[in-house]
Amino acid sequence: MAKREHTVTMNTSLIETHLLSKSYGTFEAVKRMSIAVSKGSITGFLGQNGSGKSSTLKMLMGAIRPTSGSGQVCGYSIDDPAQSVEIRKRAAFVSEDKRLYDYMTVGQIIRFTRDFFPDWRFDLQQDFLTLFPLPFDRKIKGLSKGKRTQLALLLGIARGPELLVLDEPTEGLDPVTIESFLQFVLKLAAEGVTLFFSSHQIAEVEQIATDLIIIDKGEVRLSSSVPCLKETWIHIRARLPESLPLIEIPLPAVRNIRKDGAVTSIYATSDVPHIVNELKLLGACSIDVSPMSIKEIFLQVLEVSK
Amino acid sequence: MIPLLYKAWLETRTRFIVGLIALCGFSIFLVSHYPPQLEHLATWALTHPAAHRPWWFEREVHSYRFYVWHRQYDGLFRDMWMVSAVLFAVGGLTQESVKGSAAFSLSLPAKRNRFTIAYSVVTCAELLLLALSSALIPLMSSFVGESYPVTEALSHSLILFLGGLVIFGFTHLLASKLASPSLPVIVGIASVIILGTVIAPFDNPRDEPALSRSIDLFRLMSGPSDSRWHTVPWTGLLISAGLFVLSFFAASALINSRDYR
Repeated sequence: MAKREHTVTMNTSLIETHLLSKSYGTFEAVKRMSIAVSKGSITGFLGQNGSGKSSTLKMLMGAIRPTSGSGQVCGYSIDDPAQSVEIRKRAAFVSEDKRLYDYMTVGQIIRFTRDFFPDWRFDLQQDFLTLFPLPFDRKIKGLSKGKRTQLALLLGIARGPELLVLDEPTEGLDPVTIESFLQFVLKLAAEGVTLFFSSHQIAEVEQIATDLIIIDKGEVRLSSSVPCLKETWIHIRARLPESLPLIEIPLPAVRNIRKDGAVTSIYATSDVPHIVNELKLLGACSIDVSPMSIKEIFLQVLEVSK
Repeated sequence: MIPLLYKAWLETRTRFIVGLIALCGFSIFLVSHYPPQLEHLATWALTHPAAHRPWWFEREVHSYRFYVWHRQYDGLFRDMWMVSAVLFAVGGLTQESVKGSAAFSLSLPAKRNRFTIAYSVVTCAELLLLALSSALIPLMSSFVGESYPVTEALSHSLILFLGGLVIFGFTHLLASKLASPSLPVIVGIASVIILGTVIAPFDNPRDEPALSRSIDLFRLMSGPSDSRWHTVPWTGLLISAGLFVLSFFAASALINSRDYR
């Protein structure tokens, strides 16, 4: 019904926000955020604690209302309650707080959730339960944190969503389970499910993300595809005479320079030939150029934003 | 809507079963206690011939119907039901946010007011059943050689339920505003106690001034000792039901506009 009452924006982005803001009293949690998450992508959403990640995800899913700005998920407006229901039919959200209904058993909450989704994916449910067995007859309050997380993920995944929004999905899971879960997520992505997830585990983001959004203090600091980042964000290590003080390379592409004994690290975005020339002029005896890891990019972005 | 009704039932069923056992237990006790109570009153009258007798004394000795009304609908059964109404009202999305499950509820494709409606429907049905549990009295009365009309029990149950809806509505409104499981209960119970002890502290209905009677929720819920069509406090019941509806809409509006962080 709601679909007929509004124009669904058909484009390649499943999530789009325009100058989205959220304030709690005088505190601005999210500031004029404009992001886009492409259909079929696995987008990592990074930021420090309190940077506004969870507020953004909850605004997208209708749990909190934006103070200003606009946003669309799956073509539906996030600040209209009726359209928000349509969003939740198509997009599954597993929040950071994975507490469920303690008074239900595992079996009861699966049946309860299933009743909201006519296209419930029994095949995914079965695959997930094969990997991560859950005790159907046990009350949720009797589950360990890890099992509760697995159950919350199952209840999101088996909805058969076109968009899966996960807030710290692997928190509380052991390394083996995390690895299996990431493989499971990659399988979903291969089926065409778009994934937008926040995580403090940068290794996980590095492993599966195709796109990256970094925010700090409620503002977007970086938004790009991972291959593009790997191409443009460069770490140059040069061995310079130890007597040389910390060098300065006055190029706009140079974001940061560090000195650790004879090794000088230069973090830059493009302009590699010029930087290498500068280093050669300074007497560098060895120069190693490599793409930055996501962790390095994350740290550089946050360092510059400070 | 059916899954949400099922959820609300699972959420509240322990409270309901405990309340039902307590109220049924009280009704059974009340009926079985009638012969010893009569004997006690008779003995007291003989041993204290000059003592002042409370207003209900003679009527309770001579009328089983009055005994049931006074001890049940004007007594502890009503008070226990009121406490149940306060306890049952503490639920819904704001209370879920305290327990941490609101994020999951809000990820489901259902409007927020559906949660409020489902919770209110289930808990009101449970409170109605608790009130109707006093239908045990007509069934049990023959065991003590007395009789009590079923219609009387049912009409008193409905008066209790409709009169007490305002307590449920008020506490549910508090529970929708205050993200605390204990504060709405404390404020709800305190309000009921203040109402009963400060605003309308009259035990004998005949002593009560008209102004106090018009806002005496306890008296409204007790109903008349002889329940007949013309003695039912229709105006008070309608006002209580109306205030419940207003509270419900206010709670829905609060929940719809709230941020669940």
